[in-house]
Amino acid sequence: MAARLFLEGLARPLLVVHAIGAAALVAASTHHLLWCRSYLSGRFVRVHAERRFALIVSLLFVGNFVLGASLYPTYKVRVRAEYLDSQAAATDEARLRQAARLGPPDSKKDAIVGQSLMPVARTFDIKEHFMALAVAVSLALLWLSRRAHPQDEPRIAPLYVGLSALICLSTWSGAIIGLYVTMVRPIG
Amino acid sequence: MSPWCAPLDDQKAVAGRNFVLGCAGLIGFALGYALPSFARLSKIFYDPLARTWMWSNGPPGALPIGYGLIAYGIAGAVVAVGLASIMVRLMKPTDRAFALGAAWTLTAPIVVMAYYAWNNWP
Repeated sequence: MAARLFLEGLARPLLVVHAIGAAALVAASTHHLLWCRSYLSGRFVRVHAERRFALIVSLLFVGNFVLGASLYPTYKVRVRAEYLDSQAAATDEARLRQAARLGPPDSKKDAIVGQSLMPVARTFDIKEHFMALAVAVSLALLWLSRRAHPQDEPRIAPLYVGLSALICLSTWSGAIIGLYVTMVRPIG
Repeated sequence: MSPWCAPLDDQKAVAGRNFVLGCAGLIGFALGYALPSFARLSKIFYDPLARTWMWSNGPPGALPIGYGLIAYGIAGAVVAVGLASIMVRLMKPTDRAFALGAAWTLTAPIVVMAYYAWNNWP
């Protein structure tokens, strides 16, 4: 049967690529922040490599954002609407798993029957907004790295390092929230 | 003369102008991104089941995805950079402008992130 949703047939491999891209982005943005933090004290070391990392971070961010936005229709229908927003689906699944559980009863896991998963969905929404804004932040940082680098004008350094820190924080929070939601319910 | 081979003072001046443009772009994007949600303006939605795009004031149903926020953000950035490019022709950024520019450029996306976190808080 043909997939009904945009890119639904490729959703699993694309999600794997998205996860790998996110891991690379977290690593690159952390690396960038560590390399540019010395600019605050006026020490401009490894400038060439730091500029290259600003480019890598932007490319990874834009690529990963486009990939995530392409997968979003599948998430919105198959995860959000059919599971997270559907109390009946989540409760029925929890009951089935409860009935099929091996070993002694687990009161903690049994308590999730009937529990709303709306907070998970709303946390994912927050992450989506954070990422959309952080893409713009990464492009602003790329612009500064090419056209207004702190080495040319040291008064730019606080903003430069601040933007790098904001990107780093956003990518870490995005990766953790994305991983958490995928643990609760993958695309199926 | 290319900005990359200009004398040091010129290079600083070029960097200062580009700093203002970068700040304006990011502040414009952040404000543009928040505007349609805050002012309840019409925007573009994508309906994943019908595979259609639509222009609407609010989410038409539970499923449509509001990709239009990004379009508003880009429009905000373009307008802000346009205004800033006129401004930098007329004046040179001062120390105070550097401090204020940096502060607002960091604050704008954080405030908009906080706005969306508040409105979607679980």
